[in-house]
Amino acid sequence: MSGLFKLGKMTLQSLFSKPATVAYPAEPREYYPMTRGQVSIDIAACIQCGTCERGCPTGCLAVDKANYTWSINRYQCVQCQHCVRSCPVHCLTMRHNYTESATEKHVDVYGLTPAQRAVKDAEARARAEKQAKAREAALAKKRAKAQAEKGGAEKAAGTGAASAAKGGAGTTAGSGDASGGDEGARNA
Amino acid sequence: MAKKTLVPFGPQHPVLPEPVHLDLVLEDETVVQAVPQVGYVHRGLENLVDKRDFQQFTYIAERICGICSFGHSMGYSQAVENLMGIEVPERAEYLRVIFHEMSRMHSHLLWLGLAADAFGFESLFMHSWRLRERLLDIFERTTGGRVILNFCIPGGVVHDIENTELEAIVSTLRGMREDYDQIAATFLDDASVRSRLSGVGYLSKADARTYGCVGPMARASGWDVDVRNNGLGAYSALADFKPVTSQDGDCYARCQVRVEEVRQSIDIITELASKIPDGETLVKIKGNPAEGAESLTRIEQPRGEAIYYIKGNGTKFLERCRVRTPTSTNIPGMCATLGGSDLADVPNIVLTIDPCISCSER
Repeated sequence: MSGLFKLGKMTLQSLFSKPATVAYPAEPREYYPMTRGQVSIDIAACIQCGTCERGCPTGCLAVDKANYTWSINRYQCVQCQHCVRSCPVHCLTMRHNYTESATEKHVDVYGLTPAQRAVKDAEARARAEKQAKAREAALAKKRAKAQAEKGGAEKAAGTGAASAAKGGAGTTAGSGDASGGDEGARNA
Repeated sequence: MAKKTLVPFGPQHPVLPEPVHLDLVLEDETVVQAVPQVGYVHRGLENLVDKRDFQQFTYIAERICGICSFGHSMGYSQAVENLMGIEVPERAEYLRVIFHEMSRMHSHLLWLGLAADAFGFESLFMHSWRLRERLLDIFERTTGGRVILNFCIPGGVVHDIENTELEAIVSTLRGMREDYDQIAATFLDDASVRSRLSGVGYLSKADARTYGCVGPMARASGWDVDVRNNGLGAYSALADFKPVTSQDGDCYARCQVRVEEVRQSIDIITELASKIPDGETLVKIKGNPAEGAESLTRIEQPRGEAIYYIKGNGTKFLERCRVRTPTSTNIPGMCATLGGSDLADVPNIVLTIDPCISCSER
């Protein structure tokens, strides 16, 4: 008999203690703050950079820059949290409740309200104008530099011609520099 | 000489959590040969290195198997780190080993429950799984997932675990110990368990070496093969580590090794939690694996040694990823063990290698 009823104490304890299981759904399940349920987005904070879409191992995310939308196929998502970790502006978070059940598979699309869209459009216009100005400034700077180089080259060619008249050396180098200066100006 | 009969075992069988098929050639009630057939759950995961970059593949490696998921992510991450010459922060190494040992505990408790279910001890099965639930709660509380943790990535671990949380984990494990001792005593001393497992499915040490067995299956035959013995990662910080072995080589010995390994894991976690250094837990990986670079890593999964081989091609995609899992290594040994056994003992013998078919088919 020594080898029998080894589990008796524990089994008796179980009879008089509360169940180890949860009577779901009558008793709701308690989640931990860390529980990975589903990804949610603060779309107003999203900068549409597409980092989440590129890094997603299941390809369940899509960023539509033209329409300012972010969409997720929750039935493909494996809650790996890669997007949440890689988001540069931290607009993605992991909610602890699971995806709600549904009768048909669908893609959740998150977009901006008209007011938010107007703000984003204004921001985009301002950004585009700023970029255009910066481009123009860079172009003007490049032209000025090319002009300066051209002037320098002509001066050097003049010096080269003078020295050629004296001894004949340096003629080829002088004309070469001048043609390079012309080419640079054309490119500019 | 009795007439030979062919009895199919599986792919669907009450004792098998996953599908594997065995053709059992019987003479009367005795098995004379067992021919395995695998391939029911092959998913072609290794081939996905063509379509997913080496960082994304971590999540795929973790999903090779649901039970040893953390081990797979750890083995793959170590392979990537070796390939790219990345040094992982020391605290991350400790956290990895702590979670790997907890994952071993939950795997062994799952197996103990399945074993109890296989030999018809339902209450023991439920108590084992009730205890395992506490570990799953720890996983969910600390990483957000119960089974797939997504905690280990190349470069370290995704977030730090506070020292106070580690103390809470150690305290939970200490609390489990009293309950676990009762369960362990039942597995090791109960007369009905002994009658089902003792002397069944004998595998000698020589045969274990011949068939290349790994993990608890080899250690139960007296061969102390254990990758943790090499002292890689935070295992080197342990004051003393000796693999759990048994000399009997039967189903009871395999059960005994796993029962003791759970206790050993609690000791390892307690020791490492007291020694864990402060510091960073993640280094960012820059660049891609070099063309032609190769890396081979071994880790000790709950079921035995797993090998990860990866090769780079200069892009963000790997050229090759190969995983050798313990179950595929133990299947030849299991078939050898089945020869000469009774038909009624086949379920117990199959179960004592702790078959993980998802691992072996990938």
